[in-house]
Amino acid sequence: MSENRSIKAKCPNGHFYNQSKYASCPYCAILNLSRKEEDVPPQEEAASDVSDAFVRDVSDIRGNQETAAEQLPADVSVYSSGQDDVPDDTPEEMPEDTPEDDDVRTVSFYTAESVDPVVGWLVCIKGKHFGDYFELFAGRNEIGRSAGKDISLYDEPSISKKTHAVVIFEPRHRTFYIQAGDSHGLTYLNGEMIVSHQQMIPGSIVTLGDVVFKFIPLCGEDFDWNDVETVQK
Amino acid sequence: MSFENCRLMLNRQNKYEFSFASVIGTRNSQEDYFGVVTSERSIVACICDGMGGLENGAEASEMSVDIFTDEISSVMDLFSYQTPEYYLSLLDKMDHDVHRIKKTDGSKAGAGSTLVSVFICDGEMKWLSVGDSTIYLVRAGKITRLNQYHNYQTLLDDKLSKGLIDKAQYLRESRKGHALTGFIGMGGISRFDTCQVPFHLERNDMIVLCSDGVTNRVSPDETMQAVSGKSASRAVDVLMDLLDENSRGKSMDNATTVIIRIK
Repeated sequence: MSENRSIKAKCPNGHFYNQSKYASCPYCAILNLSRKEEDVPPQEEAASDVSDAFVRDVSDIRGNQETAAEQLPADVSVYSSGQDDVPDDTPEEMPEDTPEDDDVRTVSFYTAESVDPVVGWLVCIKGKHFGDYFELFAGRNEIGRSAGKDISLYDEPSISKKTHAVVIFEPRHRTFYIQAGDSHGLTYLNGEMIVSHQQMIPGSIVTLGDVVFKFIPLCGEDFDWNDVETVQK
Repeated sequence: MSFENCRLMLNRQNKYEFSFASVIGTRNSQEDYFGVVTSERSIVACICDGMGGLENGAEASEMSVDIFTDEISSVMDLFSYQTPEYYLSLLDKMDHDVHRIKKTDGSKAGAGSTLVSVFICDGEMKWLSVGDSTIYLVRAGKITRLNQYHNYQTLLDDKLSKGLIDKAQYLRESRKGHALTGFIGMGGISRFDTCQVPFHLERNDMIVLCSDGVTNRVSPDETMQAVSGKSASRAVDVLMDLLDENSRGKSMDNATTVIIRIK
């Protein structure tokens, strides 16, 4: 955890920036906005003083606020945040809109549509999981030894903890690919080593370390989940 | 700065120090909503996280906080009145109205929200929780999650510990572990978490409420390090800075925290 204290200031144009790093608002400088007046520095708080809370821009707090006093009591304080919040990076590193496809949305356990339908399987034909199957879903299916992977071979020492390989189902063309991961372990498709990505056909043999799988697709030319109506449970 | 996703009903009191923060992250909309109500003797805080995978998440969380704060403000100092039965009736009210939220075309939205809330009066605390937001107690360098999560992962953990599924199946099913088995708006509360007896608080205890946008990126130990021994406002600063740091280069969910320090 960083020991540096970032002192957030708000410029007259509404940007928040780290005043311990920038003398004036770096965003206004980029956007060429004129300074209306001096930037308002927040009050400094002594870190060791726990009896007095740090009060910032109390009068800016909106919402359905009902108070008995004219302003918030002195023991209430807020972190300067909200939609205007910006990270402490230099302006050039301001994040662009990041894609949300890897975001997990909170869903109900009880709704049928919230469950990803299976698109294929990897069946283990050699290794500790002999005879077991692993489901594949649309998009990326990461294979590795650590628990967070889509396919976690937790007890196979020849499988990398990091992503050993990725099986991808591309739904628009209904095509499966296998891609080597960013680990030391090697990935073979039908005996040939994979460097970037290769298309997989039904019955392909995939070898990761000491583990061998047979690939069985469900979706493909003659079937896809978009072809059938979604049935409510 | 402004917070438009909160309801504050504050009267002067000086027994508890609190602070809060709420960020949108990289999402298109803010679906977290939070509330704080204080009286001379008591403080009540809640966070509702609208379910993004369902429709009308923001409306669900705002409605939940509005009903919650309206109801609780009338019984703020009647601590003994706040029994588990009372809390369940409060949840039923919220669930009933959120369940009936409609989309613009008039059809039922199927909206949902989590709830975490704490009720503190005269140095004692009760809590009420539905879903997968978090209530932590930080005391003397230790952190404890007080509430149980109502999600598929909890069911899986239980099944694994009882030997009803094997580890391969557990890991496979864990992919769907985030799905909620209890939430406001289900159309009948089947699961909720509360304490049967009030919890006695000590000086410098920190109560940390957060939505999963925080807990998905900041571990319990990191949270403990961030908030221990600090004022409520400083604790919120450090926690949110750490969340920011841990989210570099990644997507970030709506994230909200309310921290109460017992003076």
